[in-house]
Amino acid sequence: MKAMRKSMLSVFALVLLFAMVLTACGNNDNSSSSPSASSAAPSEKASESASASPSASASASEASKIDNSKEVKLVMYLLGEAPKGMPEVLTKLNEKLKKDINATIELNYIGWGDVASKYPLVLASGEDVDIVYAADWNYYVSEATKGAFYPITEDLLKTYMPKYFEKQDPAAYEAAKVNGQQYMLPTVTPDRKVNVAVLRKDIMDKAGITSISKFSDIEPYLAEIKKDYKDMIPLNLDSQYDLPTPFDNLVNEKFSYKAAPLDSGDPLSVGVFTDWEDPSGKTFNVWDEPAQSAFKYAAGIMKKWYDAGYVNKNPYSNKVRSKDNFCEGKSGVAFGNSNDIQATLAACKEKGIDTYIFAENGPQGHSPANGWLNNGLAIAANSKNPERALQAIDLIMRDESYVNLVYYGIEGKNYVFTADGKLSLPEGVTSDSNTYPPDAAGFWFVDKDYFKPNAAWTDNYVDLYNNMKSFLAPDTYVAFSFNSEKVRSEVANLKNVASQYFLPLTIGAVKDVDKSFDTLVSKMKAAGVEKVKTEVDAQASAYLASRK
Amino acid sequence: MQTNTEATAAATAANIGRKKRNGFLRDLATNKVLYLMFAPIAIYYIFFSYIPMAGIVMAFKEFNYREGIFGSPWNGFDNFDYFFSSGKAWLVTRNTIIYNVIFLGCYTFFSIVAAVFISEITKKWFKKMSQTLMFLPYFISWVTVSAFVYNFLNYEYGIVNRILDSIGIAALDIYSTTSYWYFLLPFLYVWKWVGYGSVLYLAAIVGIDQEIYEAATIDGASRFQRITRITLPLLKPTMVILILLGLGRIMRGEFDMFYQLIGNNGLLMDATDIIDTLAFRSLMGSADFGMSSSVGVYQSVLTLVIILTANWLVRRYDKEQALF
Amino acid sequence: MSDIAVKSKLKSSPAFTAVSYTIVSIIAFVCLLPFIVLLAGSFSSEGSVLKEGFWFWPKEFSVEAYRYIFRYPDDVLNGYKVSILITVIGTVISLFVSTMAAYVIGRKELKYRNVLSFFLFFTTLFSGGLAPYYIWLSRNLHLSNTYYVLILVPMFNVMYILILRSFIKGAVPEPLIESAKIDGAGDMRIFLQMILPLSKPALASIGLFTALAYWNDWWTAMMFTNKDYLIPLQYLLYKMLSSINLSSQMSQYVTNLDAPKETFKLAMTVIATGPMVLIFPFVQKYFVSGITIGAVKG
Repeated sequence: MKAMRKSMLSVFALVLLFAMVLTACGNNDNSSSSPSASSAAPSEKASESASASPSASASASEASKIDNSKEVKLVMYLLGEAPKGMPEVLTKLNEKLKKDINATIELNYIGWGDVASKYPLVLASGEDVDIVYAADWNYYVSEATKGAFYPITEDLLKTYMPKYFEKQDPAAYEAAKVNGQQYMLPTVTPDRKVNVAVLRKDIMDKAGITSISKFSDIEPYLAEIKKDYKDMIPLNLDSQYDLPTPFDNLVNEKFSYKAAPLDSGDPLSVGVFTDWEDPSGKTFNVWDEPAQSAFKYAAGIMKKWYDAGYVNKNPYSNKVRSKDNFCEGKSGVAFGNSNDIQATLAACKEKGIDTYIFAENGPQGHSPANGWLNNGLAIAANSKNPERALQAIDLIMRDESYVNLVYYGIEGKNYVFTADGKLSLPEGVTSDSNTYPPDAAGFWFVDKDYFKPNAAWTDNYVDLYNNMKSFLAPDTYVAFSFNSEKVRSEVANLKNVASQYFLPLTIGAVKDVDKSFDTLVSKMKAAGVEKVKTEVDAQASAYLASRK
Repeated sequence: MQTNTEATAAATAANIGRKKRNGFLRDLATNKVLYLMFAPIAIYYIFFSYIPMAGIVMAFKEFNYREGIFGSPWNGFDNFDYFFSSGKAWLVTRNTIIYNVIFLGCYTFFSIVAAVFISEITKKWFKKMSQTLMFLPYFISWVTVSAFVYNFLNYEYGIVNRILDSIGIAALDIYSTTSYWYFLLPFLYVWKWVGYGSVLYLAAIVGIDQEIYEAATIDGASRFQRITRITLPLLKPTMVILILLGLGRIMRGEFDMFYQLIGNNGLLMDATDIIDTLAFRSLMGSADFGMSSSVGVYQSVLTLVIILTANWLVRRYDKEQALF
Repeated sequence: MSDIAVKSKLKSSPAFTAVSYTIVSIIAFVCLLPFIVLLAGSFSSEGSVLKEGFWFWPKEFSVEAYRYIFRYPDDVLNGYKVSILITVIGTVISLFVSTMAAYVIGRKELKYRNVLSFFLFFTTLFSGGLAPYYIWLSRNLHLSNTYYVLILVPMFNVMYILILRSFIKGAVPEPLIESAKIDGAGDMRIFLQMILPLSKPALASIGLFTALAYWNDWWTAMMFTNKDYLIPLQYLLYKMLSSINLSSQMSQYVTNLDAPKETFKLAMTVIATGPMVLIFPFVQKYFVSGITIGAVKG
């Protein structure tokens, strides 16, 4: 025992020693390495001048000329995977960039499965990185709070990103502010998409319904499937996306429900909600109105459906999304959004299945317009060439030739435009053999107004696409991003409560809706939802005030 | 050659002087070659474990990039808050320990059974083939396993339920009933790891001196007796070390299995939630280094206590079989 | 000689033999079944898997998943190359150094052997977390995008070292080492000429585990590399899978839904497992037939 204690002590001593060594190294790093120190300096200056004396710095920027005499290499990180045809596109892109701004880009990807672990690390390590993908759903706020990004000022935009600055809505800059400072360059064209549910026309005919105005109308459709289609599950939900979707749609009949709480923004969580079409921006708990009655209404219907066998009993373990086996006749309803459902529609058409699209709009017939922060780029805090990076971003986001290149690939090889201005594949190239499929390279933040409709779209999809604008309505909280710094533990606890007490309600797998709802409420209170709400309200009122 | 004799002499000297209180440096001087042989691994672990280990302070800090790991402000036990205020800290700790003890027990038992019987088989091709087959599950990831399990057990079109249906028995709702999982999880665990475990025990059996068996056979021991009297007792050191090492993972263990098979299933959660799944669920979507390392620290401290106790117990009975 | 004598005796109990064969067969069969499902699934069409689920034989034969993996054969070949390279180099070094360390911490004359054991074991209990590790390796040691990182990160496993220690203790009796010392053999020579040959079964099994760890490791490549020529097979497959998921989730422009998502996962396992299953029987001979210490002793 004595020997053991001794051995432990020595090991602890060793750890301590190394901790000290490492600290020393770290300190050295900060003070002695000149490049990082010097690269930090301009950013501080920039932010200082921006906040202190806007007029002075404006005159300064007019005087400063853009100096691109030194060739630089910019390291860029995007999400996803490089398509096979990337090297060629990158060569071409670099040719253009070299000519325009004397810079080249080295492009790296962070794979989808690794984003959670790798994205913060790439920023934390202060590695060689200049431009990085940023979005509110991808840790933008928390990373910005930690100081991962280079502050963006209006001067910088005016000087280095004229094309972007000309088009961007100033509200986007407001939206991108974290603790009063903008760190992100949001896309100029937020996604236009609505959530949809797709039904089969033939079954609708059998069930005797021709159209659907609200989601609960599909009950006869579900009943018909249950009765006559033995292999098909009316609502065959998967564990991630589909799980709360029918419930969300039902709640959405009662008030404009955004399906994710304001605090965590996680659709599988619970917390503080709001009616996104309510201009006053009132927030409420699940036990307040209108949430309580809407939730109980939706949970009641889900329970009825679940008990009737319309919902698969074990969605938690099902990894196949309903839209992926809809055309195979396994799911009665396919859930998706107006972007990703296109492939399902095309596949069904090939099989000769007629489809009906139901846009999952709220009681007033609207879906929330996406915020700017859904897609964008940021400059890493210790980028050595932030100015050049901004120029490169300006070109990539807003120059049509750049947009076509990074989004569609090389003309004639990866895409062609048809005579009527539609996007199509070149002779002899199939969507399978295309080495640079559109959208796949991760450049989702470019100016989408340059995009062309696809020649392969089905008619009902084109209708949806054209109707989209009329569906979208402004969301009161479009530019609000909650900073959970002060209530981290509570938000974490709520996620936990959600999976155990909220998700069973959403699929209807409960014995008694009222009782389960009460349990949920008491667990949420125990998890500290009231504290979260206080914090949300404080930030929300500041936000609402800033919008006036 | 000369250095060799010197070393031997020194070693003898060390043996003699063992009762005296010798310093580390003296030991180092007398056993330089041995220490030198240990040096590569020591250097590796210093660089790849001990130095990064200093980062453990993050669990007690509010990390930001400007000030770095060591410069960020301390925040005491704030990072642990979410775990202990979840109201489930005790439940998941208990679940983690119970499951891992069951896993460890079943795994050890079946690995030994498999190894002993494989060693009794005389046909070489059969021996090899059966071992290869037992190893196959090791390669199948839990994602795939969970897809298979869902395919076989789900309520609507699971194969099990179809068979039950065809013989007129009501379908089982396995994914909403906790009791099945107390059996299923250990079964799947053993299934996945039995090949792996049996390799180690088989290596130990093969290492047993054949002369001992010969002597026993001559003395008229039956095959069964040879197993119980020779093989099993001689497997004990291997078993003890493997169990002790298994205890070292008792607070973590097989996150993937629970996550892939159970996922967010609220109906099974009280019975199947372990520390890692709770932490994962709570922290999903937030890139908080402090909070994510805090649970690790909790697990490490508990493990340390458990392993020191177990090691101490083993030492009391047999010094040679302890871990350290 | 002695081996044969024992075996002839062993055959004399038919009932026991039957029991052994039955039990081993049952366990092996239970382990084999899911793999058959896996194999069958990988050769099924995506549509039939989505529609009918998995079964013991393909309901609709298709090599679509494999075709998809080998769309760009050069990438796969390079993946194999990288994987084989790091597995072979890594396993050899790891095994040698681990066994050496295991021998050292098992030596009785070493007063601080328990301290050394604890020094190793402690690393399995505490870690500083991913972020410091990543920063330390990439920024301070500059290991990103090198072969070194792929070889070094998964190199050692303390459990294996401690298992080896216990095996060596069992396989090489203490008096044997002491007599060698009296004969004037140094520690290194004892290690090379006695310990290594005598611990073959243990080395074979630990070597196998180490090789498997290298072969299956995609995490290191994911964290520390972003160069195409450094991508091992497992990470390549992992990346393909995530890009399939991506193309079916994000895009309104990609028209094909035929990318074999479910069957791909299975084919991926088959492709990655194949080489290991083929090599396995060759390694096995060391711990299936074994060695007799008596022979060496004499």
